[in-house]
Amino acid sequence: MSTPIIHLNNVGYRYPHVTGAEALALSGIDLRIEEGEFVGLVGANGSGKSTLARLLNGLLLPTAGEVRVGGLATADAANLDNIRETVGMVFQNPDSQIVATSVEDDIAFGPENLGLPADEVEARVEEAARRFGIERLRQSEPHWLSGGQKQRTVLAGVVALRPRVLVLDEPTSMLDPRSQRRFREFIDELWRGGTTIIYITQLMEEIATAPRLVVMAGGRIAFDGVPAEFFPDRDLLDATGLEPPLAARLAAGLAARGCQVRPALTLPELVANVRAGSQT
Amino acid sequence: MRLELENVSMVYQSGTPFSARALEDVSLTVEPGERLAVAGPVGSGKSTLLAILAGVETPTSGRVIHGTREISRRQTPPPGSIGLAFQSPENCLFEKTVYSDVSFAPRRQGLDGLEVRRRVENALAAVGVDPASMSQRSPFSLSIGEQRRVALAGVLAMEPRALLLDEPTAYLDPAARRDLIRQLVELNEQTGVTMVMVGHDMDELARFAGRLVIIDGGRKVAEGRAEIILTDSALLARHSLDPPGTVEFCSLLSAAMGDQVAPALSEEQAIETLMQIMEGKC
Repeated sequence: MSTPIIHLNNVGYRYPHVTGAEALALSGIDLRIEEGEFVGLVGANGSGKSTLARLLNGLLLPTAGEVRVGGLATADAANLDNIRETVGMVFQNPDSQIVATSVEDDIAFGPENLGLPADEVEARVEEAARRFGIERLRQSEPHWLSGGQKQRTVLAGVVALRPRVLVLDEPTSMLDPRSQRRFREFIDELWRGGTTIIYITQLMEEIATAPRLVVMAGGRIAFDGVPAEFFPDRDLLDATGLEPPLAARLAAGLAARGCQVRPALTLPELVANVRAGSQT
Repeated sequence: MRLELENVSMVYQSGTPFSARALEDVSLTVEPGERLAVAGPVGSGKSTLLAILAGVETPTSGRVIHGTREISRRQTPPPGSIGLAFQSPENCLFEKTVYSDVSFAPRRQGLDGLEVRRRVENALAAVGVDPASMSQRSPFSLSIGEQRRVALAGVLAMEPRALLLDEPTAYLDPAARRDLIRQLVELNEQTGVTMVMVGHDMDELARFAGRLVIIDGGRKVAEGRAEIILTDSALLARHSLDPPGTVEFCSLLSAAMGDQVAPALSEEQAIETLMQIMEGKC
């Protein structure tokens, strides 16, 4: 078997300077992610998913077990430069991730700090700005942009580093629904281009069609599989404090009233199943 | 308490090269006891509108009236009359215990100890936090959902006559969101406190609001009963908003079945509609 791009082996994390049960954020995490996967990562508030994200590029170091990125342990400081070039992170709030006074300077910040030559930096800035539809905003001051434009600037800055893995921690939570969808389309495009995606969200609709779903509860992995196996499982939903997407809730509501429709995770899928059911 | 805006405009950094118009000639009346939602895309001016309605920002032009009293920079709202919860109000938690944090405002209002205690316990109960087990805990040891509730309890403990909320459910998980909206609706029904909530999640606004206003580009572009506005997909789309999931579902269903399915505003209603379509087939 090939080396997974991300490998967590019996990982635990305990927050320093915190006492009591709250200090233990993660325990017994075993997780293998192969290059090119799309993994949706969900869990209730406080389940440990953001802590897990921060372990993936060495922002936090495990207090038990081992995190390896492309075979390199994050615990070895000599590996960190390499690991952080491999794993790019995008967080919730774009305002706290923008460092420069123009969009193009912000995108260039990462590549310049890799020590790349100026023409290579320019080529990467241009490509990233074009890819995320912000080439006309290159000279703009970031604080005048909309939330969606700011978050795309952040994404462009991370993608300009050409990471093999992109970890996104609730990247759309400050965006309106239309900007959310647009942002998601850019992420899907990166995934189709071969980037490994780890996508954290509170919106179950966003990961209903993900090929792999990892669910956290109480600092542990409560489920690792396909969404279609997770969302119909009432016991698992209760144990993890999550609720299924609307389509699954409607299908369950029908079932509760004695009317069986083939289960669905998206609205178009449910409509198709209802149509098929009503015509038989 | 009735809240009114009359021809309110707001320009930030007026007269400088950075001048930015946030609101343009907005008039709005919030009736006593109602639950009003203000929706709009990011950057539409809805948070500015809420801050002006609360009296914490003074508009460049226009009038702000609370009850019978005109609000201005010199004539601010009486302390405790308006409860304003900013986005992520848990960032304002600062005391050592939940009790001392929630009791901060009533203590400053000079109320006696028994009244302060009554208010803290009522406020915590209203947001589903058990006073007995939680009062002496540090707010910083709580989950974000619990912190959010404690911060809102701190606003409620002033017993304001109007409660203004800026995206109160942002960053909460789905279960915590649902609980919080239910608690706010119950509080409004039990106490009659006027509520204005800013948001862009239409499913949530459908569960909360009696009436709805849409702000886009600093202007009021629509106003009406929630069930009318939220089922008008074309209107919502013009202002970069999505209809609630149940309304979207009904329009997908209409298109697929080839006949008009009435838009449903709640999951119960959508299931009812489905039962009719599936009639005799299950």
